[in-house]
Amino acid sequence: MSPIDGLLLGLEVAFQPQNLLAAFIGVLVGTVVGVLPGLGPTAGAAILFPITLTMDPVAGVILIAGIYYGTMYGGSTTAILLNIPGESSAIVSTFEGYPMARQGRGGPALATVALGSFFTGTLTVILVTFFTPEVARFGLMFGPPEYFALTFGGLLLLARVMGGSLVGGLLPMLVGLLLGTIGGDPTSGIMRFTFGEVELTRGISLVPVAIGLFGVAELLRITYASSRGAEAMATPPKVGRIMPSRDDLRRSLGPWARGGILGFVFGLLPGPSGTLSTFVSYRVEKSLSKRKHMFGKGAIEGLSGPEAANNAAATSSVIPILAFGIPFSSTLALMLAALIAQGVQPGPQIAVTHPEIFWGVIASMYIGNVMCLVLNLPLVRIWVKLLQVPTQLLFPAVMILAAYGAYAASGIMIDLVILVGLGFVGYLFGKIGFQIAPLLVGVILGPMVENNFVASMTLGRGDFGIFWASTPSKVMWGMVIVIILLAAVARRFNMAAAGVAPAHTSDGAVTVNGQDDSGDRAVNDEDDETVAVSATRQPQSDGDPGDVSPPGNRPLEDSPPPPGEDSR
Amino acid sequence: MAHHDTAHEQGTEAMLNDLSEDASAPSRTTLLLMGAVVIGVAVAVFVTARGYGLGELQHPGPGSFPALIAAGMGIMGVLLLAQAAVENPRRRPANTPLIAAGTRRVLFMGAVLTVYVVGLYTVGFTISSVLATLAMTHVLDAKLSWLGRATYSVVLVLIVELVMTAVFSVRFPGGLVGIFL
Repeated sequence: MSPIDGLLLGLEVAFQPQNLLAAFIGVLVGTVVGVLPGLGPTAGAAILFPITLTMDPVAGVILIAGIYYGTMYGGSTTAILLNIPGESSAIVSTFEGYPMARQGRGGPALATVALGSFFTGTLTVILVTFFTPEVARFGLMFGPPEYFALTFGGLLLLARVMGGSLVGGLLPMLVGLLLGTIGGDPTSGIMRFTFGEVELTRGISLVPVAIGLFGVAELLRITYASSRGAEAMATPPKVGRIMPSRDDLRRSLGPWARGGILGFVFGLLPGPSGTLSTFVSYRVEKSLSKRKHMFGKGAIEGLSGPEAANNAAATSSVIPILAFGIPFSSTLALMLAALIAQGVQPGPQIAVTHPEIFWGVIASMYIGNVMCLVLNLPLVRIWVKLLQVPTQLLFPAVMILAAYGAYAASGIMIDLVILVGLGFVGYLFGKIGFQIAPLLVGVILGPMVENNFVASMTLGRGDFGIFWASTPSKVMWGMVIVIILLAAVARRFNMAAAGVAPAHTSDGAVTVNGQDDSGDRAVNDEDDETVAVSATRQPQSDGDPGDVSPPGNRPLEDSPPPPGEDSR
Repeated sequence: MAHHDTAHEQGTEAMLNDLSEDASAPSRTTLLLMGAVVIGVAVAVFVTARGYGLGELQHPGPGSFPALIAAGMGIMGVLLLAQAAVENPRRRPANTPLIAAGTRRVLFMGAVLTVYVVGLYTVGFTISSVLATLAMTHVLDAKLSWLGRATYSVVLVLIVELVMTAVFSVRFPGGLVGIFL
């Protein structure tokens, strides 16, 4: 099937009423989740995950994809209007977006983001349409050793590239792999680590794991920081007129194109690629701009470029999922989990075995982008009002929803114990700077890693050389080593891509130098500028962001590397 | 706007008070404790995995992969202990409470969630969810009277239960109480 035929099939699938409804609900809920500070895309998607089980696989995945895009838009809204990035990938948007809002240009800033995201998102979808089948075709040549390299290598990358210490990345990954072994052994049928619990014989359910690690843990973090940020939401900011001027649009075209390309490439890499792409795009726009002096004072180029990069990265990051069945972030892991839970195994074969899913999801991205645009521009004022919802009432509602959802998905009581237990684990891991995404991805990919390991060993008659015998394996392991080394070097020299990226305890929780979500964020610029963004203290001057580091923040070069970063 | 700025200043002060208790870099004690726990878990997993059968290299048994994970965890545990050995002990600043405000809230919330799960088994979903919601609004200091919180808890749980029952067609257990109803 050619990409054009496939896309036509996909559009036919995506335009079915239930799929349109799923995309609409996903985008709507995603935007709400993105607007509400504290709840990240993974937490939002995790809490809604059980609902996908009541839908057919296409609608379920479209719903999660919609949440993913919606949170991107929603996160930017709070970043621009309140200086509170709802998502880590929206941090850069505060640099220029908030000064614009302070000048009464919040409306045009939000509109530029929405239009730019739509523009680049659509362009990226076209690239994804033609790129993904080719990648998937490459994957058809893979056997067990190559799949082992892909799955385990991908996990290693995810654990290491996200930042933080060696143990902070690898230990959660190993815990995830261990949890993935619970239940019957795929070859012998022997029950492992079930401790006599019949409810565990089918293995650990992904729903409570996902909701616990990202939903409950996030809520515990909100509990911890519940005294912060509330004041900022007391008064909704004024938005002003919505549509950007012709000059705004003219100045945004270049950054949209550059940001789109950057984001597309970054989206193919594991780790917090969306966040990294925004920082790199900001740097690129600043260096190319003729109005460098305007940066930090509301330069629209510094907003439109990173936002375009973020959206493009979000779109292209579905390629590894659809082509190989490998998620490079926790939200994408949930997308994968939604497919697996419905009995669909993503991978190179999916375009042949389930073309309606493969092309339906790709086509739904077009629709998701349109919906984001339609929802965001007219409803900006409603999203602003939403910021006034007190978290003290929101938390219990989300927790109760999580508990009911976890039970409803499986009907197993032990899932509730897992939900709360892993909620604590996720909170504690986040607290000490350990990664959570590798744990979830480890649980999901664990059985695949084990099966391919056992099959490879049998195939190679016990020779470990089988794992790097073929050219694709050599290439993949080589890439894993090179990317890990590059990331280590980048961290070492505090380069833009790694040095300016904040650490995240989870999707929504951003920490820098050990400081927590909704607190201060500090980033270090190449020119030794320290850009600090505070949820509660705004920049004292409209000038160089280098002046605005509040007490408690330290520039990164004075401190150890960020303790941990999480997913997009 | 002036009111907004004042609120920001007050918020900053509260935030800075909280920041000191929010260190992400684990302390020496935490590292030691974690190292010991991880090594303990690794040993337990390895012993259990051996019981499942490790097999041979050309035919790995059901215990082989968990055993490899256990080995990896063991190495991580040793690295944590090594990190603890080189870490300087942290001094708690004078006049700071032993358990900071944020940590106290999390501990309370943890207790509420634990009791909630026990309650789900014993008194069922509806009652325990209402009580848990009430307790959570209390821990989070929701700006509502007791009556307001109670009303909110009941309405919230009823709506959630109604919607979830309709969407999933699942009957939520009534626990031990449900047996008598």
